[in-house]
Amino acid sequence: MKRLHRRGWLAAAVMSCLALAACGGTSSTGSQSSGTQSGGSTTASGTGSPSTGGATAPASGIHGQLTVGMAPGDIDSLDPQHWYFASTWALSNGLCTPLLRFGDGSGTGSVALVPGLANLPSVSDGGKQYTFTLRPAKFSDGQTITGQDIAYTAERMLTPALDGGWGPFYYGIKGAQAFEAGKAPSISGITATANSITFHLSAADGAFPYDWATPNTCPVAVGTPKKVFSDGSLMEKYASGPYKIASYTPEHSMVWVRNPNYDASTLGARGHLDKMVFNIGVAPSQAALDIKAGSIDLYTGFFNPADIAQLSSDPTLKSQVIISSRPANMYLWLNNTVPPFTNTDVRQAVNYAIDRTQAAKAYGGPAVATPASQILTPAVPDFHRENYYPTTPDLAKAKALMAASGIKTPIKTYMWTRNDAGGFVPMAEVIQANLKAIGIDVSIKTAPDAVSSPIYHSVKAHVPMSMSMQSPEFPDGEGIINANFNPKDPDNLNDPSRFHDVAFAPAFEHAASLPVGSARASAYMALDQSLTTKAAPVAIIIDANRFDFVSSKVDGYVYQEALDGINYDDLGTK
Amino acid sequence: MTRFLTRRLLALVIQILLITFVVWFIFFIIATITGATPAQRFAGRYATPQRIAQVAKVLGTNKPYWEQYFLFLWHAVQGNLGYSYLQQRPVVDILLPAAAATASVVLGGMVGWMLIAIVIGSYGALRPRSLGDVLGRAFAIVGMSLPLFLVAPMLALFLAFQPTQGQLFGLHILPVGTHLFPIDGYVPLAQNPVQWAYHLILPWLALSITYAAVYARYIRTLTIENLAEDYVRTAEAKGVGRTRLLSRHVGRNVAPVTLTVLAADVGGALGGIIFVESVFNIPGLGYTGLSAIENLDYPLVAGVVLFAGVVAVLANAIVDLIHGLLDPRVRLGR
Amino acid sequence: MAILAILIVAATVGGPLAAHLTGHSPNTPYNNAVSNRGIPIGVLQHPYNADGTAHDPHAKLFVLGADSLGRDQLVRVLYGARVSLIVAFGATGVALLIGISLGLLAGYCGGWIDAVIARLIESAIAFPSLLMAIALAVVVGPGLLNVLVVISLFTWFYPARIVRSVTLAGKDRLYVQAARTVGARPRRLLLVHILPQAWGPLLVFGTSIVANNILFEASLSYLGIGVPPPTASWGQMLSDAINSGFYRINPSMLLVPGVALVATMLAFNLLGDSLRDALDPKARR
Repeated sequence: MKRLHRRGWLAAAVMSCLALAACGGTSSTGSQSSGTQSGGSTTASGTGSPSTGGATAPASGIHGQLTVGMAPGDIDSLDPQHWYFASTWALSNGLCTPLLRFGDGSGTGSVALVPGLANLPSVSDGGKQYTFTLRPAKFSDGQTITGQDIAYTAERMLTPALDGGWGPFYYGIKGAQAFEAGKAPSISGITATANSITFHLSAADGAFPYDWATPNTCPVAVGTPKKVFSDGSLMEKYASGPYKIASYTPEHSMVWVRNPNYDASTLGARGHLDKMVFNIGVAPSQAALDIKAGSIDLYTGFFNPADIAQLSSDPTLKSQVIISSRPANMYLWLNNTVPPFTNTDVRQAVNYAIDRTQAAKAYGGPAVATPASQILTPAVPDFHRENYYPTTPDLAKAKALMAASGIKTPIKTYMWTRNDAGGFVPMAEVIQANLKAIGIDVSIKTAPDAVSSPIYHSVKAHVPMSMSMQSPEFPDGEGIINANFNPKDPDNLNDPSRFHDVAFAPAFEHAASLPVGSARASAYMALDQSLTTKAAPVAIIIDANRFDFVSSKVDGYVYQEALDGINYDDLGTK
Repeated sequence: MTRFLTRRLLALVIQILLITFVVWFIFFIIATITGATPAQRFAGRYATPQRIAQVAKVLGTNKPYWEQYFLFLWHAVQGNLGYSYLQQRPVVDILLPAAAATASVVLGGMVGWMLIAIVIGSYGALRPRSLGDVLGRAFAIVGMSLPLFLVAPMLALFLAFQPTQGQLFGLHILPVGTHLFPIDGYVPLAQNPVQWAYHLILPWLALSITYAAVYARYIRTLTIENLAEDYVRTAEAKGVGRTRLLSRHVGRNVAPVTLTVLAADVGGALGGIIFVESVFNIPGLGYTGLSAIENLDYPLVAGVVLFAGVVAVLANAIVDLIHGLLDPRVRLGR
Repeated sequence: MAILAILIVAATVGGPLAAHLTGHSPNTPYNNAVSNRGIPIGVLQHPYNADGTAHDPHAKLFVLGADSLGRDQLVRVLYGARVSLIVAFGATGVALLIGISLGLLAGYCGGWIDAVIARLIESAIAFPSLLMAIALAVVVGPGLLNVLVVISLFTWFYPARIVRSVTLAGKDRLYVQAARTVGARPRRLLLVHILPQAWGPLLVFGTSIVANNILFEASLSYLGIGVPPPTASWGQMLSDAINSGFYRINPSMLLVPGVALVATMLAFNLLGDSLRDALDPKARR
């Protein structure tokens, strides 16, 4: 729940928006599932909406070349078991084919699971056994991809020396924890043959297929050394997507060419270009000019607020401006164990007092932010937008709630946030001004993410308020709501709100136990509503949007919500 | 001479030890006050304590601070500054290209500002209170008051952004889309010398405007003082021409003093010029250091600071040496 | 001097006065001072009407435009003067205090104490000070006092060097030795006989360092580690203009704090110049 996109700050190589490793603690796998999942051998469906397989190919055939501008520091690593930045994960669409994939194309199709190296798995043993049957495929060096390669990839992912931090996601697989701790030579819960792989779980888990669609599972061959390769050579040899890396110079450039061993007839017609060139180090302030001048065709970084305001109001550029929704929300965490936020009325009053419209403007305007008060992001299945709190302040209601709380105002308190990414401090200043109106006097403390986030996530620090951007590893309610707000685990480091109202526990457990599908989706929508309106452990402020400006040459541009990145598979030229 | 060198060298070693010590001390305070440790950073904020301990072991940050410090020194002596936590590359591999970029900006800028300073300064000295001198002095005092982080974005605005909208200093006299100067970063010299220079014109200009002012004043004052000395009158009486007088006689006396100040400035600037680098998107040392600090990438921060410190100390030492060679009055033996 | 006086007046009463006249408080973001697309209004413009389609001539004027959050730039630039001056004078004071004490100590005691302090001064000069100040500021966090201390930690060595050399030279002078023979204690010797010789250079140094500290504070605020939000400061205003890119649409966002900063620096530099001329006709540098 913290994979964040970089936002340009100081037009500089500020790589800090992201923590490098995965969710620990109560991860989205396993534990909460209560085994009510339909037993027997059913095929796990995608997400309820029809999965669309390959993209609708732009133009015809494979031709042309595009130049992609990347912001400085957008690539953290090209080792698939080590990479983590959203901007790097997006590259996996072009370079990799994991067991399952998020669909190409836009809208709900892009968050649905579709076959990748394997068909959708068959589930047996009461939801505790998943079997994937591989389709014939090869690495870019010509080797056939086998079940053993996938098993080896799993081991590599759990090797401490690689520092991927994926452990907690896969602890549901029997023997994974023992392997990670060095107590077993292999993972006992995985059995692999040349064309299949079977996972034995310790408990039923409806969301398990998602764990094999994230880019950290991008396969490498058996025997790949268990150390970090930062030079891109793995994605030259073991590329399994339509493209492979031809050359890579860190912080300078990268070139992709067609993967000659990618078989479109079995894996789908992905990738429509001969070649892609990545210029790394294009600053946000320069990106729009470069695209207008034609020296780059699209940009992976975040455009400057001024450029966004200008480009989105220019009618001649309408066809080149694309605004997509991102699976990311801005959270104002209210610590439920620190006064005055121990009081539900106060937390609700905060929610009523915040001017979400103005906050969205402070973050960069309508092109990058939509006022929101839901915990779920638009990327989850069957999402529909609800305003649980008004988008402009309802001061009368907020003041009434403050009065009802019986707490004497003015109250002095403080808030932590980061200062190394655009939009955070301005938004904090808006909230500061809003809360002053209801007698809450907030002082703002700021530090780079690396320094501030350990402070406000720490249980001992008792930080009353903090603000951070949250986005899930994969689009599912469990990974968002259960992972963050599990009332039975208030000291969970994921949750600076320390939410501990156990009356909510049965609803949490029920939603997580449902198999992926529409019942699960509506259970999470209902849980979101009751949590947000009745308990208000946080104030959600905005949904982040993605603003893109592409050259007139670009065809098939899609922002893939599931991975929070550009979908390189769909790109073509006009 | 040998004694002078040994003393200088010893002082240099002590200074570098002090600098590195302070850096590590700051790391220590960061960890103690905020609880933000590199292991925590790289294990992810949701990691369990066990996992943080595991990562600390991999990074070597589980050892006591003094031990880490001495290990760092011991490796540094062997030319190994460790691995960047974030980029997973040797720190040296990151520092060298960054240093080359910074050096390109600073040294090129230095040539620019010294040329301007010498012209304005010596003109002012030769014709004090003339119109040119008054203008020169006004330029100097205004230039001294202009911060780099204002000059750099103004140059970017007027010479790079506005021309693309057809404006030159607010006047619509250019075709829309004119690219006068680039601000899209840095092209290494070895890759394309023409593009290298073209991309560096604005940074050089920014440095020239801010630094030339100080040096113009400096050169003017020193030259006026020297022109009043007896040796100049003697030379003039012997019929030495103005140009020769300035370049050979006065210049020889003004140069060493100017050089001392220059070495301090250039030595300092080589450690990274954060604002110029960030406005013009040059991946230099300042830029690298800043992002390393924000990410608690300790080996990289230590590397940048060590590098910057060594360059500054060395620059001063070299100047002392040159000073000693040029000016016999400096007692080298002491 | 005149500029300086204006500056001090501006810093003390200018902010509240402007806030009173414009009716805009310094830290309130006015939603209607930013267009629907997020572009702040420019110099001498009225805020937008309720639906953001046109300027509303009845609303209070923004004389110097608004910042990216819709706060009044005129009010903020005046409040910013206060921060700049407090930090600059405060940090200079602390730096002088540390510098003079260490300088006297080194110059008077001599021997190993002098050697240690001299090395310390040299190392401190060789330090990449902005970078280290940033590292330190990241640790201690933003705050008026923190900024003040951080800045003084990176400027104390200049006065230390001046005082040390004056003391070294002064303690061998005849009148100082004479004072010593008549039994003057070291404290009196240092404070009454030696230190006054350093006042001249220190005063000249002081004015130029105040100018430098204004710049230093602006740099730290520019980088987001100066005074905490929402307190107005010139560096923060500049960074708001530059990092959002809005200065390309509204150059006044850059020019308002920029001109304030340059005028102040100019005032202190001119003051330093005249002091130098007055105190030392043969002044170098």
